[in-house]
Amino acid sequence: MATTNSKQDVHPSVKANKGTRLPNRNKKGGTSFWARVWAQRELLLMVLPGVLFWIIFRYGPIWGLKVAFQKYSPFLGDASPWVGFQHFKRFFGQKEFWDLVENTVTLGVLGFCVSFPATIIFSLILNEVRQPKLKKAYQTISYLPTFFSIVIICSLFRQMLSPTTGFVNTILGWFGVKPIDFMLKSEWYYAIYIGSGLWSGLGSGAIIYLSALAGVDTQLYEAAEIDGCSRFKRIIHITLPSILPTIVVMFLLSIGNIISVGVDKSLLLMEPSTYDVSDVISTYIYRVGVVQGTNMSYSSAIGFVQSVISCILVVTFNKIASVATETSLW
Amino acid sequence: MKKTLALLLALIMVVALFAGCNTTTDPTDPSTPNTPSNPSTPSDPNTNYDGPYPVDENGQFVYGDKFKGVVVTVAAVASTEQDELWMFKQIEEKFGCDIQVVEIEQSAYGDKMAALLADNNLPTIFESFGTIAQIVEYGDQGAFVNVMDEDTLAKMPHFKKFFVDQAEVYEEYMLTSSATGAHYILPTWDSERAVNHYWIYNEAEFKKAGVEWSGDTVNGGFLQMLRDLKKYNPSSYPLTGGAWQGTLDRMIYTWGVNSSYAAYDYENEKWFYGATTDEYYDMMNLLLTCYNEGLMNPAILTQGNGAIQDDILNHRGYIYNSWLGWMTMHNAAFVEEGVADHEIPTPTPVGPNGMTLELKKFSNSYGTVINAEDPLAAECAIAIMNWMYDDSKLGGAWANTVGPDESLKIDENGKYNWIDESMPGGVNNDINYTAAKYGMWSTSLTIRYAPESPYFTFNAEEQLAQEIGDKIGFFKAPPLLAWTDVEMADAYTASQQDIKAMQQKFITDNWTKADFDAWVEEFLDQYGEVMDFLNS
Repeated sequence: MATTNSKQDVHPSVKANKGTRLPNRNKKGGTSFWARVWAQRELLLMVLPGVLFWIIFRYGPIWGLKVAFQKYSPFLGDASPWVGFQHFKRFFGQKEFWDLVENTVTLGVLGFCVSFPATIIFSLILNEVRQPKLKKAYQTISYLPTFFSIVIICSLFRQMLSPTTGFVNTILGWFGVKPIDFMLKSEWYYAIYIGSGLWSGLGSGAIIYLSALAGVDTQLYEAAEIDGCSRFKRIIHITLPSILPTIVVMFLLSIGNIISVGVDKSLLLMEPSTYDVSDVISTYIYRVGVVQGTNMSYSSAIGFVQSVISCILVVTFNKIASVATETSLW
Repeated sequence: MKKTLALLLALIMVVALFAGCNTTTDPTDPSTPNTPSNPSTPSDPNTNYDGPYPVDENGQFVYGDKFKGVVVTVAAVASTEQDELWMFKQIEEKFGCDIQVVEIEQSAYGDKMAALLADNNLPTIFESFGTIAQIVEYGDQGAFVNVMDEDTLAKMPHFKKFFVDQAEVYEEYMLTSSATGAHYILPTWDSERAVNHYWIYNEAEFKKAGVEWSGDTVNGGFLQMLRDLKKYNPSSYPLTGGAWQGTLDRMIYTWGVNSSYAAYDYENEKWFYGATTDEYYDMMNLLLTCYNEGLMNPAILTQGNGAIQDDILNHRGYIYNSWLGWMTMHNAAFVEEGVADHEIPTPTPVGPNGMTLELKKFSNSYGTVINAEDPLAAECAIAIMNWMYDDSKLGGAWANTVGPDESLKIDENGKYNWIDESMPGGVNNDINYTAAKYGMWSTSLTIRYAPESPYFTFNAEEQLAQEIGDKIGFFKAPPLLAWTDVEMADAYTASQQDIKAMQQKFITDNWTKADFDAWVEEFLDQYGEVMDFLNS
């Protein structure tokens, strides 16, 4: 007769938990749910704040989405009348609807297409720097703009690009070029928006890839070097495949934000003459939801549409990633 | 040990997580329910009374202990503690209530109030925000005090004398009432000087340059003057300014159009888009010429008022159209510098007819609103606001806009001035000075300016601006718009955006008449229905 205390009968989670008492056995001879919970109580307690955070601040507010289907008044509360899809129809029927969507998608996709590979390339280049002190210096310098607020970054760019006092126009003036009012020209808006984002986010984005690169087995590089691989080929055949799971995860995490072009930066950089390219869904929400009166229902409906699109993007690309690379978020 | 530490860490994180969710019982937090110490709450049948309050020998209402301990929250645009300042203490002494000031930064007023609204946590007294349509909507839901209610009017005789007893004023005021005849706004009455914004020039620099002022845009005098100033100082931008859209909105009056957006032709009784007229093109073309010849600072297209300060104080700009207060501030700075520069209003504004903006006596879509959530606090607020309309020496308007006796000094013209020994002449009639010192001029409470207020004691330059304005005359402003149709309101807002974009593109893209006409055609094609709606 097998003993209940034999090693073969011990639940794997108990094996991992050194020093934990053996859980109680149920009638069928396995460990009960509550016994397993008790056995892992410290771990569960540690994860509890995170779970509570998500339930309270992420899942709980989902109930508030009903506001998008009501003509919500804070004074009527739950007694606010239901209007169905009226707000959605209003949004889709706006004259500027397609302009807003076009600007949002263009800015989001362009920003993604520029910053995503740029961060990877930068971290690969940084990884190739052999002198540790120089590497740390480059990393620190690139990371510093992360600490600047959006307001400071936008003010810096406005000052740099000013037609009268900005150094960019001053340098252009040395070559006989007439001052350009960059902030007022639609054709420069994407460059300014994406460029400022790249400058501020490059360092912080590279950290994740650098930590992934630190985990690559150096013996692979040594073997490749012995086999006569050039530095570039080592990057292509060893480095990139090694960090591919990280790249895929970062890609999936970023793809959901394409449609959520931030309101703060857009508001700080936009000018009336660049509305045709700078007015995005987020700024429209701010305008109708705050500036033109507190239209909570309408702005909630638009935000809901944004979230649905982001969700569809993440789910779709997660599926593609799991099929193509066997790496996915879930 | 590790497990204990892990458990401790987890507990701390859970506590920290909930720390931000707690309901504060801080009595200064406006979310704290009003718990008056007076047991005679509105639900108490023993506090009924049938009509207005008893009056004393001065004709002032007597409230007794009715509002003793009642908490009244007031939204104030301020960044410093206001509760202990003189003005709020005056209110507390007169009404026996407890005033709690909710300080909000000016730049964030709308955002903060929107957040308080979403939380159903508005102060008792606050300056309106958002649209009048929304105020009316929420007011009809019972959120705000209906100031046109018979009982309320009986308690607000000082409000009634301005907005109900004057038929013309009443008619315009009620244009933004609800369908049931209710109104929720307490507007500011007759707070404007004749002229608040004007063209200002640096007279001393003009004298140094040997240039005479000219606002003549018909025969080229204005442009020649700017060119002469540019010759005097080639690194200057003689024409400076701030708030580009605001400047254009004020300038267009002198071209005979009373708005960049929805303008009104009183002769033909017709609405039209001001920015689509030939007159608007003429004005923009003039500014384009200034821009191309380096006579106008390009930065004013994007910067707020920063360009004015920078250019004027660095002797790089000499003319601008803005608020008169800049003149006072610059002249004070010049004196400190020991420089003999001097700014005064221009003898004539820039433009063909020389007229300037008509300042309306009140707005029917903007003012103070009283939160009706707590009936007793609302009643106290009604009493306070009635007092704030009273411009007699015993009234709130006097206290709020003239101030305590010890702050005042009468000049040789018999006008009141505020004493400030740190200023030249020992007086300082800047309202920000008394706002910071005495808590006066709080935006939610300032609904009537006493005519004797030092605000109307003009210095020599300001007096000159009033006289020039009076002499040349004022162009009649269009009637105020209050949209009830959501689709039209959205379209109008979008059209305003388009006009603002044109105001910049005209200059930066060097538009010709053909470009402007093409834009007008496309604009009217898209937004013409808005004017058709207004004219129908």
